[in-house]
Amino acid sequence: MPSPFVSASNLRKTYGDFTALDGVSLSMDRGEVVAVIGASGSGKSTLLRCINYLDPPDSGEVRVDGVRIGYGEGAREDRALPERDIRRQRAEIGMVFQHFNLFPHFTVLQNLIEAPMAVRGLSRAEATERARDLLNRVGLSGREGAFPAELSGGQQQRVAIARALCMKPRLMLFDEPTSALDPELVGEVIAVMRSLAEEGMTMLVVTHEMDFAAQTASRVAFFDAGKIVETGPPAQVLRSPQHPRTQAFLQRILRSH
Amino acid sequence: MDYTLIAPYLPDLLSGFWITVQLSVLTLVLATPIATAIALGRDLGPRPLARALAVLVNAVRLLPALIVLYFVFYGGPQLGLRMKPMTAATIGLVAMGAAYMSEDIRGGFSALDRGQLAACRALGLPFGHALRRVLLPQALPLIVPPYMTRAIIMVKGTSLASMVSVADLTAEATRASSITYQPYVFVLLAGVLYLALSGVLVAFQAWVERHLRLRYRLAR
Repeated sequence: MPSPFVSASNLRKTYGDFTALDGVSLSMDRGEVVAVIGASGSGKSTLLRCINYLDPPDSGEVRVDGVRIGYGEGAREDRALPERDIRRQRAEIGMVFQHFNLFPHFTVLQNLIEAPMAVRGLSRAEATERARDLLNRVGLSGREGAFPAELSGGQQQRVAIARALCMKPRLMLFDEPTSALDPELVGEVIAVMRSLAEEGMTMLVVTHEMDFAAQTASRVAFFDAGKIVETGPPAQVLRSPQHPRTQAFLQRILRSH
Repeated sequence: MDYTLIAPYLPDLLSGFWITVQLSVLTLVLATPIATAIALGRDLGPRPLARALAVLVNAVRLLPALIVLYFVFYGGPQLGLRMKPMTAATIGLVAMGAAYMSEDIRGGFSALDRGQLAACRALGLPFGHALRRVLLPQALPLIVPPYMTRAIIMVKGTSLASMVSVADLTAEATRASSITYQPYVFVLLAGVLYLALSGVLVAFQAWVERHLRLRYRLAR
């Protein structure tokens, strides 16, 4: 049996008295799209931040394509890496944030090319070409010179997705990418994510968009109090949840829609 | 009023002014990077470091500047640290300046969205790069006004050095006054020179703010 593309094993993370991750394990195959659902504060975002070591877990391990994040390779696998080397690993993992986190003093183009030039060593011309391609893909050609504040929320989030893709990541993490958007702007971001999924990108998506989870995810993981209590194909988890917590959560969601 | 009195004391007054300029530049040039490091350490450093820095900043910040200067100049030798008045004054003023300025700089950084640094880290950007290209440009417009006010206060505060036998502008003006019994003339002259020095900073502040506005005009 081939080892999974992404595997998180027994991750634990506490902040003071609060246990954000209470022994979370999750594995993903290459090209798989996993939607993580669950109530606010259940640890979903922490899981993403532990996977790219933005917030290193207290214990447990993360592997992407066989490489243990935060640690050396091969014989040096038990040695924790300094931040400098973790940074290199992190550059392989794209992340999209709830509040976009675009650089407000940069134009759209500058937002996209900054890291490829500084981290990947691309020339301005190479980075710009790559950036234009991606802007085209997210439907924003011609907005290279705009500043983030001049764009709608949906456009900003699409720029943020393009910015992450500009690093040519092997895995994309989405942290509630549509939660800060006006309802009428959600669709354009979901559409971009869907086309990304169709192109075979491996994606871990924390979301409250049940339609996205149902239609695009290959698997849904339900999070509760720092644990994944139920995981399976969307049809199973969303239509006939087994765990009482999942049932209660989905009922609340359905009522509010 | 006998303004001809100034002539014999002018060389001393000008050398005092030159000492004041040196002390001002030295204090600002040394205090600024230390203050920046303290601000970043408190904002982003590990918790024990942040706590230690907070204690240090408050200890210095809550003391009168003159007491800090006395402590360095008179207390130092008792601990085996004998130094020139100018050195002692610089150390004391830099300590004060760094403590105050770290608060001004920290204020600018804490107004930034935490997500900016998270985005930089997620993209794999080194911290120094993130600081230079992303964090500082956004924090600077917020830091400049309080920082420059503090710089002006620090420049005027260099006059305290006269109390630890530095022959600065204040010391020379006081000396001339007590020899001639004409404080009006000499204190007025000292005031004008201090005004000129602080005025340079005000002009500099206006220039920096204009520059930042132009550069990041479209950003907000």
